[in-house]
Amino acid sequence: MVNQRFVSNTTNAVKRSCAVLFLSAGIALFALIGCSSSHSLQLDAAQPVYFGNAPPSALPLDSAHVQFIKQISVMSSHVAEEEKVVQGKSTTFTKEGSEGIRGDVVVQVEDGLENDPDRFIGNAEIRARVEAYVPWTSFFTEFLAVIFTGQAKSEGMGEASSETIEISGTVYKVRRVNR
Amino acid sequence: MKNFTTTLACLTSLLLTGCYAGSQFTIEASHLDQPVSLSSTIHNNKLEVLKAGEYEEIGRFSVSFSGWSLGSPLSPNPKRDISDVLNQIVKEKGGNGITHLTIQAANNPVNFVSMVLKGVSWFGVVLGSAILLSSNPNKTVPIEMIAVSAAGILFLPTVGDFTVEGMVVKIKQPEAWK
Repeated sequence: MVNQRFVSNTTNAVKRSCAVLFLSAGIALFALIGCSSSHSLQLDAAQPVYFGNAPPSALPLDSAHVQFIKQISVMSSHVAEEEKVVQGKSTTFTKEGSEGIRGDVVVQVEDGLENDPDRFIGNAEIRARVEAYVPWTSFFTEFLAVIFTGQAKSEGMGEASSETIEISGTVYKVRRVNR
Repeated sequence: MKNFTTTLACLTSLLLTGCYAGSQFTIEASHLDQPVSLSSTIHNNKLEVLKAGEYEEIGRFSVSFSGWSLGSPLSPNPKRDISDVLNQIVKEKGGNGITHLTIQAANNPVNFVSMVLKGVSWFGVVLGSAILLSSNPNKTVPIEMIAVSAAGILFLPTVGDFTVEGMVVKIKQPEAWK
């Protein structure tokens, strides 16, 4: 009786351990084959774009020294190997290396600056969003394509990775007459 | 009926897994000692715009860090102030400004694990709800299952990897800078 209970308990413990190991291995595999990608955003402008609180100390951002023009925002998203620039003229390039798929975007900022050398962007702030997901629409489209045509439309349909970077700031104009 | 409920729970959780595991981070600088420009241009003491080549480029730098979040609607938007890091870099390199500041964002493998575990958690919520609504007299197990699964959905962490790169520069009129 004791032996039977011991055997039963041991069997259950082994089953539970196997289940945990199997689940852990599956999750680890999912993490390992996860779509590795990154996205960088670089701004190019004829005028300075100051990050944070750092215009030159000779130029406080108050109404006596600068004139508020408008708020602007530049956003760029990268989904696996595809870049999409929402605002601004851009140069995009993608490469796949040991670090995964990279989407590097250079955005030419002209909105609000209007080639005026007295204008600049201050108080810039960076917001970044990273997302990992399974693109079910692509998955089912791919599945149906394989069923009905016998051929896959793309090379993969696993997890997807997306990164979005948004840089927002304020356009100011230097008040030369008050200086 | 039991098989139908389980199948329905599996399909629902499969679809819900297709949402995502992710989060948003804000990178800011509240107390920089020197001007830091995201473009290739920067002002001098006469508020003239200096383009690349009109200031001395001392050297590039790169700083990497990770941002943790709960990745749920209840999670506050995490903020990272990199003022101290940038101030230290400029000081060490002997410059008085930074140009070409670039931000790079990447998913951390933790997010893919969280995505799978969130799918499992959704499955737990759906299955627990189905059992709770069924004629099963034992209500304790499904309530516990729903509670643990909901905690998983709300509190599983997500991680963003960030790299900040830029060029430390020296302006030709250093006395004009703070």
